[in-house]
Amino acid sequence: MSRVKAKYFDGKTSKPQTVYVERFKRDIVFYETEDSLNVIHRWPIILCKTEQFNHTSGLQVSYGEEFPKEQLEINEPSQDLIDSFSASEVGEKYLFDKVLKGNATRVIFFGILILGIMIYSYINWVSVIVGNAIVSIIPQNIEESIGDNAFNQYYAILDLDSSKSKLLDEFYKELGYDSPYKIDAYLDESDMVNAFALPGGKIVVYEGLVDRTQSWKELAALFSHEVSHINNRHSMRLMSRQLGNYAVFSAITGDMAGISSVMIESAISLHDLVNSRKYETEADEFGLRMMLACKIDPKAMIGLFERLHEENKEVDEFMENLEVLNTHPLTQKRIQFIEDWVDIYVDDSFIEEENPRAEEIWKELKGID
Amino acid sequence: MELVNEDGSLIVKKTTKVKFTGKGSKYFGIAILNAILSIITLGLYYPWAKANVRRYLWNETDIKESRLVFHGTGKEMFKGFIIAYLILGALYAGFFWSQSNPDYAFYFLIAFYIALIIIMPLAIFGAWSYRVTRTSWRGIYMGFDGNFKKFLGLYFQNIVLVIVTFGLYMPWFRVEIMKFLFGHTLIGKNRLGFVGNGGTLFGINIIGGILSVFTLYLYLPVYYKNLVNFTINNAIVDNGEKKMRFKSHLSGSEAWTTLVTNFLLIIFTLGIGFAWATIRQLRMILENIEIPSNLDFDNLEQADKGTIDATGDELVDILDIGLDF
Repeated sequence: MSRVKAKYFDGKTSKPQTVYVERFKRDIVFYETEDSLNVIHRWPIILCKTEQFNHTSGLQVSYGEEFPKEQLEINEPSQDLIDSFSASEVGEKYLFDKVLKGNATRVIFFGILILGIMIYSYINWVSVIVGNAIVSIIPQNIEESIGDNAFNQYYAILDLDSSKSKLLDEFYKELGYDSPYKIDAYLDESDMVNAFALPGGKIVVYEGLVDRTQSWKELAALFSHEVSHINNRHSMRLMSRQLGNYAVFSAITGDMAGISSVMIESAISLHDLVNSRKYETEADEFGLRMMLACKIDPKAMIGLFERLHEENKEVDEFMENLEVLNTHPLTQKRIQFIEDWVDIYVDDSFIEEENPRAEEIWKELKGID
Repeated sequence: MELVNEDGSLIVKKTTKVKFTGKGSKYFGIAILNAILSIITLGLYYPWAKANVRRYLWNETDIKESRLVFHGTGKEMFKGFIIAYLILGALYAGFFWSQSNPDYAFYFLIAFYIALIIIMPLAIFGAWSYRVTRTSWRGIYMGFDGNFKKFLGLYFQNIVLVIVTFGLYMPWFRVEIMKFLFGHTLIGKNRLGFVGNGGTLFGINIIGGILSVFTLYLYLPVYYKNLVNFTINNAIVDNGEKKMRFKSHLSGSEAWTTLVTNFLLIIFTLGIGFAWATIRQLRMILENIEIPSNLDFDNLEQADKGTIDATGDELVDILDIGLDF
């Protein structure tokens, strides 16, 4: 016979009453003293309820259906008393009881392991599927207006040359690339060796880059890359994935101290960088296919990246040690990728077509007579 | 420190302190399981996760060898969670829409701020009343008898002053809100209250802000201590005969040591130590609280069902978005 000292509250006041309780098969029985036979209360276990996890401190049980409920509080409950409330519980509470009972080191180790695997697979697979689903329901015209709006915001800091932009646009149209979007090309007069594409069809090329191209085909290669970004809706994908990640991870980190949520968030944005690198490679590949389809020599893309590499040599060398932080794959790696691709997909049957009009415009843009 | 009488016997001081027995490892277990379940359910588990955390923390808070019990459930909070998500969803949709209609972007921004101003009081009121009325000790529930319409009136009066003064009025605003929330909170038949002064809080903020910057944020823990002590030392309990203050014994040095080591703990464990840090911080605050002696612990009477059931408005009652003070 094992009776445990406990405190009983009648639900009307907070006055404690010392009792001794013992667990029987279906009931918890209350006695006045440790060895008295006088039963004060008898609670069927099935009508008892606890609001706490087992294996935390003490045991508190409430009894009955009506408000206010009677309550029993046991500071040092026996194992069979604790078990009377875990046996009937199923589902998640069972999991929590297990974790709270478990060995701390093991809980920490397996917890981190499982959570790590889940976050990894979430970022890599679930958010891709969800992100793509979101993107697929965003209509093209909304994407276009988002791009237009971004362009209007950029407009103030761009230094556009309207007549050269017209030429560049004409150059693009000569190439015959296929896109479901209406592509508009713009030329910025600054000497930067760069270009970017906005969702929905606007492409901005800096004059510095045009000046460094050594043939019209290199400029064509640049367009094939940028148009592939647009056709594959890369910006929208990245945006919707970030949104999805944010929604889920803010729910998880809600209870954590601010600083650790900052850490998780930065881990995610590092991952976004990896994604944006994937998109760059994808745009290279689609660009190459596009060039092949339009009978422009895909090898010109190698030339384009060589120009970029010359310009960014120091940055590239520095970045070699910091690949994780880079939004773009290293130039040498990209060149290697293109060479391999050309080896596989371009054979002797490929006949390049000349494009005198495109060449003429390119010369005009570069100021060559 | 022990106080001793002249004859060498101990002076028994009749004070009631809060004991907190939470453990970092257990809290970590709960948090990590919450996180795993949240990922599996794509975030929908959040309200249940909140209930789990509170259930644990309440259960580890010990007053006179009886522990607090949290009665809230994930199911109850799920409603508020869904509403919060719908509002958030509407704001996102509005954002996208305004991106594609730049002419209306300005109106969207206005609508956004109005929505925020309306949601805030709902969130504050909902969170407080929900937590209070879902807490019991020795089977006695805490009660809340605040009226949401009155709260809304008070909130808007004060928010106007905050806007007009470009935020300078903020400390007074906070004090007004605390006066309302504390003043409508009941423990048995005892009513809580708040007697703090906005000017004092303003001073704490100014000194805290300036010294934090000049000491490269080394003063921040002391500033935090001042805020905690301001809140607790100005809280009172009125048993109908006598009003008495709560007291916080938190010292600057304790706050500094605890918070700085917590910071290092989190940094050097790459965030994993957050569970231990949270428990240490809670222990620091709770174990320094002294409960006034006019609260008759053994004779608290059960609250009326009305003050624990609902505030008359179900939406407000369950809308615990999780906004913390």
